[in-house]
Amino acid sequence: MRRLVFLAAALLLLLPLSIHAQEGESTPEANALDINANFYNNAAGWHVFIPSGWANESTADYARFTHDGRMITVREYPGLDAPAAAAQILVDAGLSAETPLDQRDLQLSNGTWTQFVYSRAVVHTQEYEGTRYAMLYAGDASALPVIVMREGVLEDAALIDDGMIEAARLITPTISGAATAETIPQGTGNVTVHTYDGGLTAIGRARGSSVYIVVGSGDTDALNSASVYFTVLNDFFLTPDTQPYLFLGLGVASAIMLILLLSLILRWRSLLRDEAALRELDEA
Amino acid sequence: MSAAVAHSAAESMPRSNRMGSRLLIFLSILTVIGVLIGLYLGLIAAGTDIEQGEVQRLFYIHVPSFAGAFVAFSATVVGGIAYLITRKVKWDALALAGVEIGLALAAINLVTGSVWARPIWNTWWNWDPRLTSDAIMILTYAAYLMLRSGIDNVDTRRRFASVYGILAFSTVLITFLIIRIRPDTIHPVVIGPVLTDASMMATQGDFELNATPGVTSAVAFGSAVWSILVPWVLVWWRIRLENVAHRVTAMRVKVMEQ
Repeated sequence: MRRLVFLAAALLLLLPLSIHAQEGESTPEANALDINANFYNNAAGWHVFIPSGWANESTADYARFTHDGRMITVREYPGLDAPAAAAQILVDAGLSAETPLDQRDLQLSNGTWTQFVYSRAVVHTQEYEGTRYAMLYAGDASALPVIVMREGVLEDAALIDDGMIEAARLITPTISGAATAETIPQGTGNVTVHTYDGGLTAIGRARGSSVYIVVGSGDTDALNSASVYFTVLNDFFLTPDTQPYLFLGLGVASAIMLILLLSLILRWRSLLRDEAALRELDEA
Repeated sequence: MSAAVAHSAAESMPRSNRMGSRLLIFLSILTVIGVLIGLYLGLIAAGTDIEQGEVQRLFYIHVPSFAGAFVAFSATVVGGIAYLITRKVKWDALALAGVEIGLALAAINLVTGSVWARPIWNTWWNWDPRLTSDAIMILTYAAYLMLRSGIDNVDTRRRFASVYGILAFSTVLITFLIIRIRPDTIHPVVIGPVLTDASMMATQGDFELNATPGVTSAVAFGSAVWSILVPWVLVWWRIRLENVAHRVTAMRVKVMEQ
């Protein structure tokens, strides 16, 4: 019987080893999710998706992905306002500072962004707890990814055309309307393709309350290639500040353990006092 | 309590010898050091989780405390079975100690989970199958202590507690297994493989262990300390307390007889 109890106790002691043993099984799951396709800035607490096929030239401080003369970079600028951060990321990316063609606020799923459209680049910036984060797409005039807000765009396809024309006017203000318009099924939705007089082309897709547009002088392949920037922008994730909850959890856990220990100590002392009193009575 | 039973109880409880005391003190110091190292690994050495922020570090207490509760409640099963076979009081003391210590560790597990859930799930509590089974488990063991104290006859109390302690362990097993039985839980699977069904992946979630350095070592070390040292040292101290209680009861009966 003793051997049986000893064996059972020994097996129980081995139980925690199963945690380590089974962690190996979770690793393939993690790889299956392709989590390494993200750039993580653990120190600053943010991460972005690395576009497939783009070269990752990131450092510990900033993310930079390049492909075929195009660049996407993400940096943080503590204390700077939106225009200053947009101007600074242009300079940091090796581009010359210029006055933006357009500036507007966007309400996206991952926060409020300010969008700056330049002649060969687009910058989106967001402020969170005193730090401004800026994301830059730079290339040439063949393709510029631009977002235009249109409430109710998922229900009304005409708003896509309207948004695309507005985006095209940022580059060529004299455009009055699309020369040709075509809707093509792509993935789970549709993509609208516009051509304009003067050789400008745009592709647009509705998402949420916005129209995601790539507009430029390039062909649809060039425009589609640039649209990967939207994935990087929407995947941008800031680590939330949850430190107060950590302290709360640690405090409550410590309190429970202290109550247990205090209970053991107080009961022990009380029993020892009783024992001493009984011994005196016994001796008397 | 009759005098005969009290004498019998006192005689069957072994007095702690000096060697045992030294070993217990040594293990207690080792436990404190182990817990502090575990806290260092979890709170300082491990990287900050990029998705959840600092609150994810509660994971290094939440998981190990359940492992500790599992071991303590297992001790109750061992003690209960052994008492029913041998009728030796020391096994009943082990079973009782296992419940008290397991209950405290399970409470730590539950509370840290609830605090973690507030920023991550946006709620302190929901009736998720894992959370519900965990709450039932805690209430079942709390009832053990209440019911046990309500039975005057010592033999009946110990027999009842032994059977109850063995049956109550089913709630521990259910709590451990429920996330693999029920498809509608959002509790992450930490130990063992994540369900591979695509719809399940979306709801259950998983910790991205690869994204945060130091997670594996912090969890492995913390679980080892909390499931081997913490419950056993606390259970041992609780058994010693029970031994003193039996000794005092025996003396009280002896004095009253005089």
